Amino acid sequence: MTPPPNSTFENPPRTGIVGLGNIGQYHADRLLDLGVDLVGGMDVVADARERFGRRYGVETYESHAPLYDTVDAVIITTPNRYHEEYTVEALEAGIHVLVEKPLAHSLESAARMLEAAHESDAICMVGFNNRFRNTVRIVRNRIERGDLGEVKHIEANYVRRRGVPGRGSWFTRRSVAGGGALIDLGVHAIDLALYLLEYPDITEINGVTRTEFGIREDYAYLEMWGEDQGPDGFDVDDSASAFVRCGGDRTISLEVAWATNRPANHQFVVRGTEAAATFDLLEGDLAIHSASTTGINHLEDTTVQASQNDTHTDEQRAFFEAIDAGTGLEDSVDQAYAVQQVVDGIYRSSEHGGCVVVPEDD
Amino acid sequence: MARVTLEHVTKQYEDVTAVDDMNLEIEDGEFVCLVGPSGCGKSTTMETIAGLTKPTDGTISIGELDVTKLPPKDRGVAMVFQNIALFPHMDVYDNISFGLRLRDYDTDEIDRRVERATEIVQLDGMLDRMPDEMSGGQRQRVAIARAIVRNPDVFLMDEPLANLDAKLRVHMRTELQRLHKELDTTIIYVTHDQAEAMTMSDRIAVINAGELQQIDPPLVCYNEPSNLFVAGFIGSPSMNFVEGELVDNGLQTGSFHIEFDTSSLVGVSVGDPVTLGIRPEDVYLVDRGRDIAAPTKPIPVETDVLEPMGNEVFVYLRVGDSGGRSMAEAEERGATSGPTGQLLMSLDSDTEIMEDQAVEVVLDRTNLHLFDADSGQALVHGIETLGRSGLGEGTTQTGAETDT
Repeated sequence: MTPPPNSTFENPPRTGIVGLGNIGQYHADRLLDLGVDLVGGMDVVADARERFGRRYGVETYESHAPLYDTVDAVIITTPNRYHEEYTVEALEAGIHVLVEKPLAHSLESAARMLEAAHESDAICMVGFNNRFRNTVRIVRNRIERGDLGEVKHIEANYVRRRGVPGRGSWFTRRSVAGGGALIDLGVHAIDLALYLLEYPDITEINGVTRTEFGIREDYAYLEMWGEDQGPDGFDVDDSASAFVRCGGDRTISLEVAWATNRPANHQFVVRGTEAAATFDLLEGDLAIHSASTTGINHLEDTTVQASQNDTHTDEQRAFFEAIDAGTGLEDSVDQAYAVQQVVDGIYRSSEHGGCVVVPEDD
Repeated sequence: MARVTLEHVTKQYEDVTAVDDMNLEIEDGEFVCLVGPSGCGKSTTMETIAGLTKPTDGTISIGELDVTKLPPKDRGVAMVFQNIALFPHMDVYDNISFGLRLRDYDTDEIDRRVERATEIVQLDGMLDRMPDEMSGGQRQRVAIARAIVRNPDVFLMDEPLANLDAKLRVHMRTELQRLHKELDTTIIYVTHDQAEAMTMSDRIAVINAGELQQIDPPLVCYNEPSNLFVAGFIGSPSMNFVEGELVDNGLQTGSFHIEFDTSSLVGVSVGDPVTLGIRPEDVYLVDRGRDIAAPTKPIPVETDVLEPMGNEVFVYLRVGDSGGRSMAEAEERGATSGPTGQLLMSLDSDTEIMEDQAVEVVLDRTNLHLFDADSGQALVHGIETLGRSGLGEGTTQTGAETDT
């Protein structure tokens, strides 16, 4: 398949998709928008291959080896457990990798991927697409400009009221996903909070994960992403609360849920010493809150409006720009590993019943 | 092979100084262990050499090359960690050759190197095994072989044996020594296990609170510790510490007096607090003490708990009034021994001794250490060289009971 004439890149890398499910197709659509050369796909499931091949008119493969012979870059959208194998093999072959979040299903697997990324000259990016949201970019820019002063605390919420994904799908099986709501949604909130704190050292974590809704026969919901096979296919957490302490006593309070008894909430509150920013991750509403003694003492709330953007497209653009430039994104896997340390710390804390330190070994 | 040099390396996290102005010169082909308690900065020091952590200040050179800003892959180092990070989806051959395939070596060269590495770590015939089909020791050998095939200038090993059982750990210790002899390469090895450090190293670098305390051959660290921390950290069981005060004719502790000529001690004067250090094997029952050349005068003590170890027996001794500093205070200075007023003695297992028995002991003056109690720095190792002041040495009026 030749690149469309509107290609953004001079030498668009030949790109393949590993894992041809919904998110794989979502990425493929955006590749075409960007004018990147989509050359093939790989999936172990025949139906997925057949559907993908038909839709995009490219070769599909049952194993990664022949695909890796034909590509410069891959986007890996498999279930979490398989991220390591496909990422490591690609990096070893010098193929650039954009791997969907989370980095891995376990901290150990994440550590091996980090090692491979350090070893390889290829670019490896972890797909935390929410960083590319326009509101987030504005907030980050305000922080860098010093408008908020020193950011001391972040309230990070990624809470669905009833949104357990298809029970029985890989998302709800620990052996494949490595966890539930925390590893699926929580990683977005953790990455964003750490990103806005400019990735400080993490020191201590206190957290609880809960399994309260997915295991119910009478789980009441309005919509479900994927097919519901009932509670037997569910052995992961469906909500988590945690408090993360970072260097300089900067903190994150985290609320994550696939399902919980409260209205949905995707609010982020970024509290600085000079001002705060609040935004809704999904709706985009952004406001800056400050106070002033200029003239008469007053409080000020400024509403910021920005257009909504397609975060996956912008994430892909950053990936291909880094490939083009031969540099950039050097910290991506290190930061994703830090997110994985927080996820692992919350699970350990929940199991242990108290605070845990990060990293586990001193 | 290469010399590794750290100059003024500091790693500052927001609240903590993990490594504080570290200066180290590790010679080409040397086996150096970085030892210290948990959180002392030894792993962070290693990570700065590996390139996994960027130092806040200072420079790191490998050979003639300043590597401070180079990524790990360009430093000519190979690492082996405590957690054996084998790729679970690759067999032994693929795991070992991983780093080589990344660097586009041709197949013959890869085969040759893998073959040699597997011979060295004795994994012949296991190349097609998957990691989950192997024992912990075998997996660690694969990890070491993966490091070997890269012909690194420097091996960096961070507690590589910590997750193995005790028997295997001892076995792997000798394997690593053999490996070092065979490859003749520089090895920097992090451990909190001083037995590993003592048995394997050419030199030990003792680190505490981010600062280098001493770097010397194992027996120098053992026999001539540069300060209270090293004295308490190296050696198991730990050196005994007794708090005292420098007097005209020697050292006065709460319960006994040791005579020597104080005039040749540098940096302290009469009236200053001084800590006496003596290893358990340098404490003798008085009748056995006749065999040593320079015993102190007898010190009356009472036996407390006995710990028979098979080849020797550890005897805890109660020594009169302590009169000295508390254990907490001693610990603040880095000492890790028991409270003052207690001495630990090691005896041959055939020695007849019981609990709660009044006995007399002598200390071997040639192995008696003195430390400045305020700074913790060593003043002298072996007081026999100082000479005696001519006054008698023995228990004081306020000393322990002497009903032997």
